Amino acid sequence: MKIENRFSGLDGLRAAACLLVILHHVAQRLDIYSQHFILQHIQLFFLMGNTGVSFFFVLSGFLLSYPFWKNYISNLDFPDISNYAKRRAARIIPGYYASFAVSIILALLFIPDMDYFARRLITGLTFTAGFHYTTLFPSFVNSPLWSISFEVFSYLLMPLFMFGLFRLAGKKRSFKKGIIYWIFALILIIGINQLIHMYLTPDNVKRGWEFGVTGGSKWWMPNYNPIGFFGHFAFGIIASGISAYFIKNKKLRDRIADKNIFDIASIISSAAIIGLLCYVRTEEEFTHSIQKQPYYFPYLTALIAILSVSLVNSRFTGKLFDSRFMRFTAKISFGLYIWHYVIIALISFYVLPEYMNYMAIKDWRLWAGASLLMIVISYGAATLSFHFIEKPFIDRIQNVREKVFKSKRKIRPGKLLSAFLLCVLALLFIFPLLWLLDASLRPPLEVMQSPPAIFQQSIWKSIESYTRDSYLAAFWHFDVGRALFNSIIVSSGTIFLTAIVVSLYAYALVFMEFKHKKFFLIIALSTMMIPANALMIPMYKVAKNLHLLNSWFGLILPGAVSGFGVFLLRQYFLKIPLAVIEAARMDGAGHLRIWWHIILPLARPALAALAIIQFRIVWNDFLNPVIIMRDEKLMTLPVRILLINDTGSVLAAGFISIIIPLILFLKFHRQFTEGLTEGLRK
Amino acid sequence: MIKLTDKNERQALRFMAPFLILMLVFTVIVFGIGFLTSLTDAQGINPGKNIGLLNFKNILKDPYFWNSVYVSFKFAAVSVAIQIPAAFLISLWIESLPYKKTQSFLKAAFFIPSLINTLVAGILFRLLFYGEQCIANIVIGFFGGNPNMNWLDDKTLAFPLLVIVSFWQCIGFQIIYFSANLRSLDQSPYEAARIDGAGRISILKNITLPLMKPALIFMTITSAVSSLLVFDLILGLFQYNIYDNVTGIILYIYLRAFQWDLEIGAASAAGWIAFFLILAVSLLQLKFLGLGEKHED
Repeated sequence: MKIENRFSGLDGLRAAACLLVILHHVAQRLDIYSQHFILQHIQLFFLMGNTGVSFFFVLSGFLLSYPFWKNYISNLDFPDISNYAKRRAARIIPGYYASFAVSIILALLFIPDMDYFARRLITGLTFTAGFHYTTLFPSFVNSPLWSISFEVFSYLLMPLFMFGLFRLAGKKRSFKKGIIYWIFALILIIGINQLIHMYLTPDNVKRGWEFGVTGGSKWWMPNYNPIGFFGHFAFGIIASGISAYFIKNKKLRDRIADKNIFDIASIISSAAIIGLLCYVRTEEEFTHSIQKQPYYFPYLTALIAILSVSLVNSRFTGKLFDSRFMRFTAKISFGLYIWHYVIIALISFYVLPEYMNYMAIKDWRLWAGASLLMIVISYGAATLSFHFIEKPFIDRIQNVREKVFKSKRKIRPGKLLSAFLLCVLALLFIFPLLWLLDASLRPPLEVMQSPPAIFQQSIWKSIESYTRDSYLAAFWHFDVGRALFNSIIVSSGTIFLTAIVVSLYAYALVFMEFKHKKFFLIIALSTMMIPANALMIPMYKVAKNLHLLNSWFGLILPGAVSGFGVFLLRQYFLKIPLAVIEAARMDGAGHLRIWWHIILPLARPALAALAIIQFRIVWNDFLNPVIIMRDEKLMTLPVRILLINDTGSVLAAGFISIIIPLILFLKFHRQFTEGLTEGLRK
Repeated sequence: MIKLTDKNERQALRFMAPFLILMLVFTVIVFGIGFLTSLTDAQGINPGKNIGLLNFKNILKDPYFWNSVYVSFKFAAVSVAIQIPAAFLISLWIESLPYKKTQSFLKAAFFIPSLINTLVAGILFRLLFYGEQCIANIVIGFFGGNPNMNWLDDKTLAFPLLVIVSFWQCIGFQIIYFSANLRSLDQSPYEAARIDGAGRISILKNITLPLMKPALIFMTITSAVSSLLVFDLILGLFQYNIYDNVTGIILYIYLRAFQWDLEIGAASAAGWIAFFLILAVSLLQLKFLGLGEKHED
């Protein structure tokens, strides 16, 4: 990450690439024949956005090969390859696996028949999907994932070629040698690609997008292939070599930059890129390129390479590209790339069925609305994915070196045995969950068997009868997806409101002076002892009079009255030194600002603990939803589960209801225990 | 009662207002309306007319009601008596381990069942206890018990089953809470005791237990209240075949109001009585177990 930040302009370029890909997929949804002439041409231009993938490859080649070039030019050793591998793995694997897992689950739920499913799953997990047309698209739901295996293949090839360069050049290295080497490498790649075209072109049986995903990949296949895409990558590598040379020879670079040659070059090359895309927008796929390669290779690719070199060295244009929005987009670009198609699929499953199909929407306003929704949700999902899935792993890799080696503790056999015994006990506690998973995957006949089905045969035999039928039934017949959505809305709403309301209350109790403080403390704590369930009938009446029946607020508002929350936050706030507040007061900050800017960030562990406790209560609440949500469409999961009359679906829905709390808890459980402990320390 | 002359006081009230308003509407008013409804013969959506305290009289005479009270209290007593000591011992055990990662794994593992929807937990245990050769009986047989029990069709086994499932679900939070408390204890008395050469049992008895007393009391009360309120677990576990020896108060109210005869008024009265019974229990516990306030300060 550090290196990437150093180059101006590349963030903007990366963001542009990402937006291009998204616009391409957006444009695909609209029926071009029923649009106005002008809109048709805009749409055609957007459809060229698939070239964003080429941008990605050039940029990756540029950034990843830079450390190698730097060492090459400065006559240093070959860089640490294990570090390179670890960083690549940390960058790609967590996000990709998360997205892939979600896509697989959605595909299992929504796609009726999938050919080569097992093959796609295995190759998808091992980053080898791109080597055969039966697996090119590892997921039926998330098609952009095809490029990941290509990219990973390039990650492998680049250091190999670089190693060759370091070996060949030996001690007498020069910039010229490096560039000539890579030009030869590029020619070699194109040569191998020619062989692939000659010998590995798929046959014409069922070839074409009209035969589904497999036919489509057959149609794409020799033109799109991992070797060919390494050609795009290689352009980035060459650009990187040139940039490394410029950075080493500062005088030369400044001389050129002072004449604004880089600025002019970047403007000309970006204009040329736009012009090229405009020119080819009405042409067929795989034209205007050598070897029928996609993305107008090598012309567009070369332009991108020139653009990136000139942006990196430019005086002005680089900064122009790096606006705040573009920087942010670039930061989450990987997330956007791997998640946006999942969002498209979700919108088509739940909001607008035509949204999945190619050019199916006639009304452009409907299309624009759905697309805007898709883009907004994608940004949200990508941000979450970056902060909670991708970044933790990247940070971990970067922190590995800074860690100090701990001295080894003595192994005490007694403690080890006692830990082992406790672990066995704990496993016994988790065991019913595994049982639930097993039962939910069995066909209905096997669920209620005595002795259990899993003991009637060997385990491997008995697993063979697993099906996804129960899950399908849960989603299709019993609308569990909608209930899940309702539960998520209600829980997150309650957590949010509770955090605000309770922290304000606790803030007043701790940091403000007023009379009858004790009274206010006690009445808040007394709500802890009120058996709310005993008051279900008046609750119904109150909700009815306030028009809160069949409304999310009918569950969210009462849920926010949390005596335990007041207790927990108060305990935590008491430990925050008053000096912090006083200093802020001196600076003229109001209580509201102190609460928001100082206290809430400081109290994060306590808020995490509160959030988990509240989530647990609301997510599992049955009585309030059954009273307040009378409309089937608004039911939360527990109520929905009680109404399901098919055992298999009940189990499937039950397992679904566990997944989200489980993920949240495993993610935040350290903060949860810390918040609780810190809150209680005297 | 409260003067609003001081600016600060007004601001404090403003900060507390959201919580106070929600509390007013969803506890105080709900309370009052509950009482008003309990004075009527409301049935279903029909608001009914005022009949004074007749509902209360009838409820207090209803043997089913008293049975449900008995069931709830028995269940709460048994659950708390098993759960609190067990959770306390397990948390002591976990905290005695020198391995940080194992500790957090263990706490997570014990806590995970409590993340599960109570209803789903009920249904899940139906599965584990289904038939004479169920997995539960296999485990029981493994430890030398009677492996031929028919859990779901045997009235006498219904109550133990409820206790088992509730144990599985509730103990996790208790363990985490106790562990958090154990970690937050002041370490100086322990060091002093170690210097004096005190034994493990005496440290537990003379230092840990007194220091942990507030936490134990707090957990006992909240667990007792939530056990008294047991409802959806019964519904999930026994579904359409609920024996009267597992019909708790809340379930009784629910059935009366929404299933049997839609007697909203009568059910409200039952809710009110239940409320005071439960409140009385928690207050009594505070009194008997002593020092409820110390925990707050």
